[in-house]
Amino acid sequence: MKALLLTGQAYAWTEPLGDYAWPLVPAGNRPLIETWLEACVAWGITDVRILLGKHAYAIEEFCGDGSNWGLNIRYSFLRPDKGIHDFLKRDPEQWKDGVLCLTAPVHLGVATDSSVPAEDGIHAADDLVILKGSSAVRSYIKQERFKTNPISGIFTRPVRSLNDLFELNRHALNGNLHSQVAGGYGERETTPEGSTVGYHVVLPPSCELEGPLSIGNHCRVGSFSKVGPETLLEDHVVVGHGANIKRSLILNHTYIGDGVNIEDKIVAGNRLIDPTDGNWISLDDLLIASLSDRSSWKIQLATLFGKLVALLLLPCMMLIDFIQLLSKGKAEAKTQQLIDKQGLAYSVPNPQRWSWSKRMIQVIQGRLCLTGHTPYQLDEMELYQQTKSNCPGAFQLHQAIDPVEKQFNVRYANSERGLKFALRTLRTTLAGWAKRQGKET
Amino acid sequence: MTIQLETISDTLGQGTCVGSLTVSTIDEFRSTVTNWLSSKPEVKQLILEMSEVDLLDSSGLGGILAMYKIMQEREGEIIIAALSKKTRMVFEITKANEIFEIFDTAEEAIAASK
Repeated sequence: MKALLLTGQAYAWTEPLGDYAWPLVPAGNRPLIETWLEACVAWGITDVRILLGKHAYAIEEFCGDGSNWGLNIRYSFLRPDKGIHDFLKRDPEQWKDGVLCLTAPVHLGVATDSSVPAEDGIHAADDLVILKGSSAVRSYIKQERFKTNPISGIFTRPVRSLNDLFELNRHALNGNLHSQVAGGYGERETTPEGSTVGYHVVLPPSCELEGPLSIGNHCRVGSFSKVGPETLLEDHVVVGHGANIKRSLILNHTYIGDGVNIEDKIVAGNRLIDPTDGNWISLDDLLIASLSDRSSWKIQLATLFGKLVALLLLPCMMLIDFIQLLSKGKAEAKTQQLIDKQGLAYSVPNPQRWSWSKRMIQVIQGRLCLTGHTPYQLDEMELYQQTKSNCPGAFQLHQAIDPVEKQFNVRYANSERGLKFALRTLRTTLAGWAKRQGKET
Repeated sequence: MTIQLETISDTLGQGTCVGSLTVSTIDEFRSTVTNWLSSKPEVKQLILEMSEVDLLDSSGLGGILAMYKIMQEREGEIIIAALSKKTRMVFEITKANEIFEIFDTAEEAIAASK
């Protein structure tokens, strides 16, 4: 049996997403089309033909030759105004041994004991059609009236609107979809229960995460921001300082600016979309975070100033660390008591306690900025010049992003290295520490 | 770059392209196809078989689009067949696949045109 996946059609409900391929919209934290490919794997189908139309390049770039899934994927073209039966009639004989057709956006889950129907005929479930036998293929091509048999052991969830997409992801995050979210580096003491975090993700200690949530690969979350619950960040998402994202779906290559609040929305690039009715607005933030122009002498001056500030603050930071050490001793004593009472074999250190003096020393050495990021390297200036435009409230990084990860990092770091933000970060952190000390005493 | 043109039926023609379709060869391609079409006013569909095209750049694609416009003027169409992986990527990146009808083989294109 072979599989035929129709991916090139245009749907009105996807228009607010802009230039986003609907087969690649997230279902949990992986693209919708991946659930189709996994269904093929579950049913032992290895020959897959993907019919391309709109967004052909993006879809082929994701699926490749299918070796990631152990499939043999080939590509054909079908104009967006044609249906799958138009493709079948080009050469009906090659499909007579059976073909699984996926004809529209649908989330698929396959039960572990499920198998492809054995008998000839047309078997259908929502947008999934299985044709077995030449007569079934001929009837389908002619679009005759035909009786369909149900397919057991599969779970389908059609996606006909943005609200369907939104709800699909909510169900996925809450663990209510048959095919669950892909595993990530979750379930650590710093990530809440029911969450997954991808690789190459920067999560500063001051950000708050509330599960269930899913963070993709190559994401950056800004200091003092809050993410979750029921939130999904796809790959290459940057969340600015102090942003607040709840019950939302943030698609690939999106930058959420500083202090932006997003609730119950879909963000696709610079579009903020209400999933209930598909209305959207374009976000252009004039209060851009990063510095607009930097010459090398300015970088060196900023670095020197940072080092001087760190040098001045170092004695104070050492005192803070000393006080923390004393109170940590008390906390460890409390923890030790709990361990003794409950008979636990280990204790978990509190990841929220920073070493301030160590950070100041790293700033003086030139290994860190005051914000905690890696400092400017002069050889980055050329990259910076190439990526001259700054980051507005939310925008589509896709046009600017380069496969070179370093350029992405430069763009992200540009928005967080200003001295003003560094001092504001310090002030807020010191105030928070003082408040905590006041409560403890 | 060479192109061999022949009529398959009264209204259907096929051109088999061999070589590179780039800025250096596109003028020859255009003149050959234009002259042939002028001599065959009844041809409404022209299949371009491109399995032997090893290189296609933006000029080459522009040339094909120019032929597409000529065929549109006579209420006909250009059909593309047998793209290799490299040439397929050019069509995808430029979204030209949304304009042309593209078949996997010339035989399929001929069968669909009948």
